[in-house]
Amino acid sequence: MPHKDDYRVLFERASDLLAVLDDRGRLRLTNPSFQRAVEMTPEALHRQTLFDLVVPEDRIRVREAMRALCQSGGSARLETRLRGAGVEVAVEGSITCGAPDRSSDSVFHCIFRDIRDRSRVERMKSDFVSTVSHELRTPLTSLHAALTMLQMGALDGRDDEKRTLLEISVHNTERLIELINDLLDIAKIEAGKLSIEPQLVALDRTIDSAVGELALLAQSRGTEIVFGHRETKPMVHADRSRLLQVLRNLLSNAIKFGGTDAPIEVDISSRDDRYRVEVRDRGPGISAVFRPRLFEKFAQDKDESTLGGVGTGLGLSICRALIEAMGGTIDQHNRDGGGSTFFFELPRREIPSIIRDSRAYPIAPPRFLVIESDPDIAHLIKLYLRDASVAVDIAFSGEQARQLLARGLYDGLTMALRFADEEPGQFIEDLRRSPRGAELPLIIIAERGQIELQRAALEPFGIFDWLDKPIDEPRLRQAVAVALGRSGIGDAKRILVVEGDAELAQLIQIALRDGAEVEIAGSLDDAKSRGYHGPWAALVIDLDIDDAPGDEILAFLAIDHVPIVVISAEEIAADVRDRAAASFVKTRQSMGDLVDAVGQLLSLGADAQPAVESAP
Amino acid sequence: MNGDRSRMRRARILVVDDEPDIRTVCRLALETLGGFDVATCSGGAEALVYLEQWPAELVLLDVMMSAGDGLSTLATLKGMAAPAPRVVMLTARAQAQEIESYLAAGADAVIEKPFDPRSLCKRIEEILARGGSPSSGL
Repeated sequence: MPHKDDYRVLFERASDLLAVLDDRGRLRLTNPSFQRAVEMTPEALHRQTLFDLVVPEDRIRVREAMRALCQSGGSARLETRLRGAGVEVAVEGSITCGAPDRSSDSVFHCIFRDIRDRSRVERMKSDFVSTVSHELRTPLTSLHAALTMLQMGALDGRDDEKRTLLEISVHNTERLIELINDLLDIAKIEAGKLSIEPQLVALDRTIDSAVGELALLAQSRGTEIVFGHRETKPMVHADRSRLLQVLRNLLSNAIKFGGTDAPIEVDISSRDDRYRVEVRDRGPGISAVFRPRLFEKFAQDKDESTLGGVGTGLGLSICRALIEAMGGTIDQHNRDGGGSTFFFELPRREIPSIIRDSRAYPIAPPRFLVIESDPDIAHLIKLYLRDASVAVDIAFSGEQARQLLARGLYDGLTMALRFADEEPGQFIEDLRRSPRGAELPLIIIAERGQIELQRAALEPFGIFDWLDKPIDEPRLRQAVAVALGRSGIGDAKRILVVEGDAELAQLIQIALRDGAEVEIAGSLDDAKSRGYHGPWAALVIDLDIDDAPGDEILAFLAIDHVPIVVISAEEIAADVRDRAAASFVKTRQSMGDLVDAVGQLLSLGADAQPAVESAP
Repeated sequence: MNGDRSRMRRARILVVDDEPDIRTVCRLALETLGGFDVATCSGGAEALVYLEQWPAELVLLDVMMSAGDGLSTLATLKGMAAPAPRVVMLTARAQAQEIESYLAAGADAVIEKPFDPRSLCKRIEEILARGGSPSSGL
């Protein structure tokens, strides 16, 4: 038989809000949870009725409910808000009517639960849905209107305006991609499935990339990004693409919200065992009310009345999760004189001697020899080719060139038609007689007049291409790319794309067809039937095709000598990614990235092939 | 129905939205598909100044603007001396009660984003034709 104190203990310790009322609704008895929730003492409470506590707009409803209970007996469910001493508590629960015995004036028994947390979460969810739908509808509006007009042919004959509509379509598609990626990241963070792959990363180069990407946006918003203090060789252990994501986010916030009065400053400083990156703007800063929630997800400053408007409330919460996952910290403070400093710190890493001072190529890049007696022009060619990921050595004279060529390192060469110590005709003749120089693609870069004079005499030695000075950069890069693609193999490269989605397949085919012959296989079986060992210079496989279990894909990836590029809508598993020559997540990378990667693979691949044919 | 299709000049429409892309697509749609005379502004305050020089028959007004709230601009426009422009609100958060509240605040219509450019032009023509064209006497 339970002791009567048991009841009291239960009453006093219950986390629910318990109260006993008399026939007029006066609070006869309340438990400590009730008192704490409304922040009132028992004495103060017992002078009140329940109706005094209920928010005014609910009072009539509660009173009616209790009156009905008196008639019918039993219990009623109730959801309302109680207003105590300076707080408002959302509650739900039940009230029962009926005195335990005739001598008691206890008539109503209330059991309430504090649902403030739940209502807050619900409100955040509904705000979130409303925000996301706004963030989806805004780019969709531009996209839909622009595409509809293009499809209608409403602007035929007005090319500038058509181009504007296309640019709008691309820009707004990118916005949608960004939103989807943010949402997926948030979902991953929530599920604890955020994948971070730390490697040694040079902070300064990563910042340069991010700044490079956003420089145009900054310019279009009337501001610019400048560098302040920079540590030399600041190496950290981080996931480069995630770090880029954080930097992009902080910089684009500064561009959107930082005003145009002063440039955005980016600093790298050193603090004990960490590097600290600061992004500073001269915008309105962050209000004291909003600041504590700045890095919370879905947090939006509703009072924000200026400049770029509110964001999705996702970016900074993702940044925090990413930086923390990389072992760092992130925060913000308002600057003296106005504006924000957003900063993060990451643990510093020593540079292993192996990669110190070496360029970060995963595979040795193709290498060209540039023979040019004018140092300025030589250097310019070197710069152009370096941007195309081609390594360059310079020879200022024929003698120097012969020495360098003897090392046999080159995939091609460019040559001026006038250098001090030698006749170009003799040089080329000797080159073609040498074992290593017989098949090297040779590009002549010279003044038009000289080319006209010597072309006929030199043509028989197999000149790959002729370029006029002044040098046209895209033309040079194209010539070099074609030279690299062709050295060794005479025919156009053939690429097999394994892609189940016909539209995407067509897009990939169109994107890649400039550099190669592209065939499409709709499935792995289809791919096999085409003989996947044989003629391909590269394979592109979509991991989302229907008949692609993981081990099948891995078997494919084990194919020797054929570089394989994998693409997927989802994050790609590490074991697949490690074996692939390159991997792409569809929404993270553009078609241009894919084309670049395949282009690079083709030229590198040529390197490994035995030379079977001489240059044309 | 407004029978006077051979107006002296095309109806003027002012598009007010803080999104540059939306201003551009609205302008192109209204010009090429609707044959209207179109100008654009990026905020409410700018629009009110602009209207003094360029009285428009209709203002296409975004609700969710960061600089200068759409609703307060609506109130100012509706308080203007006759002939006050018709106001059509554009919203990306169209919920029934919101639409009601804009109509109650004096908006002539509410159009949801995303919209089809053809139906946008059609709606605007209907609104301009409704109850006598404000531009017919000009």
